[in-house]
Amino acid sequence: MIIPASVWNQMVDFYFRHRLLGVLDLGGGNWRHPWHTTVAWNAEKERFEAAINPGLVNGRDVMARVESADDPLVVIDQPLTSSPRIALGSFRAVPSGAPEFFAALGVRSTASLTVDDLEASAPVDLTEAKLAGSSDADVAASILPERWLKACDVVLHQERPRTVVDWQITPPEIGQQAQFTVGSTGALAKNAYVRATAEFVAAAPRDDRATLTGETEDSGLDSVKICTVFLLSPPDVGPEAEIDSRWEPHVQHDLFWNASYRFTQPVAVASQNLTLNLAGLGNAAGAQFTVNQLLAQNNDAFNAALQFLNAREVTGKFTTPGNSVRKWDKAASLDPPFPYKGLP
Amino acid sequence: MNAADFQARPGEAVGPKVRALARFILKQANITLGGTGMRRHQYTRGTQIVADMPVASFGGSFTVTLKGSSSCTVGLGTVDGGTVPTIQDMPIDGMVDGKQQAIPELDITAGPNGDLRSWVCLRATPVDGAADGEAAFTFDVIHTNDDSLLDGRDDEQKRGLFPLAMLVWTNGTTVSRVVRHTHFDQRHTYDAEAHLHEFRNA
Repeated sequence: MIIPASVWNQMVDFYFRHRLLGVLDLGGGNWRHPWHTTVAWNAEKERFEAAINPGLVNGRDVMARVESADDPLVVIDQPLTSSPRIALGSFRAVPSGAPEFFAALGVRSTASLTVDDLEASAPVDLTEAKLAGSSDADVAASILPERWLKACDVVLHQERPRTVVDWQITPPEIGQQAQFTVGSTGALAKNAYVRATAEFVAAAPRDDRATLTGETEDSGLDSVKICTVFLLSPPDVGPEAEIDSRWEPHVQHDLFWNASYRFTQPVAVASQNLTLNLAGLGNAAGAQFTVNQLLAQNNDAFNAALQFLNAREVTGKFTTPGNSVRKWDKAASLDPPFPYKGLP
Repeated sequence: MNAADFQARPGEAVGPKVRALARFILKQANITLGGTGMRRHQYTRGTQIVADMPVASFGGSFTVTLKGSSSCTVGLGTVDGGTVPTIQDMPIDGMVDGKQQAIPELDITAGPNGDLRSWVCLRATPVDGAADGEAAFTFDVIHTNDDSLLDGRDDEQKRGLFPLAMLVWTNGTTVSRVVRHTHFDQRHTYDAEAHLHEFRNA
């Protein structure tokens, strides 16, 4: 059989033109959950900016503070439905405890990830397990140039009336009565709003004594983190390098659904008398029974005052659909897989 | 066809086999691509296929869809397991006694408030004199431009609202955007002492 060169070459050319090099899946889909945040570099203003897919609180707009288009020195509040771009100007270094996701990208200080295995009595150390079964990919990750992380948090805030504890007669050191009032001040902003901050610190559990004495004041603000924005350094810079367009943004979400917000309704100012019988303690130091009796009376008085405060204290809470957070492989992804669970 | 169709026995001329194999290869190379989002990029060194497939948006329950500028429909969603809310006494899915009727449309011609916002809401209404075992509330879908009771507090008739979606208007007559508030079926509870309706996902 003789095959002409031209025919052969034509066939070879045809084959090569049609051989499949690969399939590029662009992902598709246009659905993004509420609060889905994308981060991009603004070359003109030389900073990273965040755009948040609009989320609602109680069905209402959530506001963001941005620079006015007319005058950059003037800040205005815009609803998220207007697609504002929120400046990310303040970042914290992440010297340790970064999500394990970044290990494969060259970050050395990722956290040792531990999750509770529902089937096992002992927690499972995923990092240890991963190292034990290290693959070529893990080895490759360990020899990558070291990279650094910086991060900031995007936080949802809702103002509410603030509890105010006011002592007309302060608790005496010895004997006598004390009197205080509990009231509230009005909220300033009707709509919830988002702010970017270097690091969000969740409110600490209330210290009953400090709250009762007024040492710690109610902020009148409830907050929940929307997401953490991580910036991953290029491989050729040190930990102190300034952020520029070469840093890669990665977002880890904490909020996936629209939120409901409720706060306990404030009541009219009310006062409470508190009687402390400390006077007898010194004289009765030798009589344990008497001391215990007086201490018990004072504990009763303290608890009564605390209940009086609790019944009138204004507290608020965000909730979203669902009541648990599904565990997921944090080494593979920053966000959990769909469907997303909500805040309890 | 499979490999055996192109294999030659000892002593058999391979020419026809080569031609058959060549035809087969060429035929296989002509991949038919169909559907939106599939593109073929062909170069002398080979072919690259780019798939940018549109996928169905996450629908969920109570999907609010505009019907022109004066009405909208609300996709199927339930309250307390099996109750389908109504729009003007017609279930939102149009199913009555197992028969499909026209999907009811919600009138939104009341327009927006001063901030150019309005809401499509689920409304719980207490049933007077409901006996044990009977539904204590009925549920319908309404349009409102008053945002004062969106947090679940009841009105003077002890009715409560839960926003399904916020409508963003460009002016008094045109809706530019629907922002959904819920994506799930709902469970409803009412705290008579606190005068508070609460809706949670089912």
